[in-house]
Amino acid sequence: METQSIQESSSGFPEAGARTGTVRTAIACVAGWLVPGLGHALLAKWGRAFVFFGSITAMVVIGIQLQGRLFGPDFGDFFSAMKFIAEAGCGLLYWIPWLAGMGTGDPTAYTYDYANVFIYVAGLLNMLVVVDVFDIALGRKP
Amino acid sequence: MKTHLLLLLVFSILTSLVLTFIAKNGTRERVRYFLVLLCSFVLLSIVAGWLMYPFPF
Repeated sequence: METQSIQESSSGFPEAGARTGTVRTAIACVAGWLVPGLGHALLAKWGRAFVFFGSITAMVVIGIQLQGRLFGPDFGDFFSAMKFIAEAGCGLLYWIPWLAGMGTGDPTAYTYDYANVFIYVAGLLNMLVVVDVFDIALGRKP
Repeated sequence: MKTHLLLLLVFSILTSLVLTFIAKNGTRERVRYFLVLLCSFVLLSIVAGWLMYPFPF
C-alpha cells in the first residue's frame, strides 16, 4: 500500500502518465482557445473540430461584416471589460482582426447590435468549446 | 443579409449547432436536440418580440 501511494498519484494514474496527460490537456485547451476546433482536432475529434471551427468563424466574420465592433482591452468600466472578455474568447479570430484595425463598428448601422451579439456569442461559445476539450482530454467524455 | 428574421435564423442555426455538438454524441440524439434548440431559439424570440411590442422603449 505504501509503495503504491508513492508511485501513483491520488487519482490512481502513474505520475509520469498524469504529467503527460496534464501537458496534453493544457496544449489542447490553449490550442482550442486560439483557434476554435483546433483542440478537438489535436484529440482526433474531427467532426466536432470542423463544426466548431466553421460555426464560430462564421459568427465572427458575419459580426464584423455587419459593422460589429471589436472591443479593445478596456478595463475602465465593468461592461467594457465584459464585452472585451466575451469577444476575446474567440482567440486569434478576435486578435488578428483587432490588431489589423478591423471591427471598428458603426453604432448608427442598422445591424450594429445584431453584429455585436454575433461576436460576443462566438467568444462565449468558444469558451464552452474549451471546457469540452478539457473534459475530453481528461477522459470524462467520449 | 439585413432582415431581422434572416439574422435570427442564421444566429440560431450556428449557435444550436455548436451547443448540440457540445452536449450530445449520437447522430439521432444530435438531430433531435438541434431541432429542439433551433425551434426554441426562433419561436421564443418571436414570442418575446411580440410581448415587448406594446412597450414604447
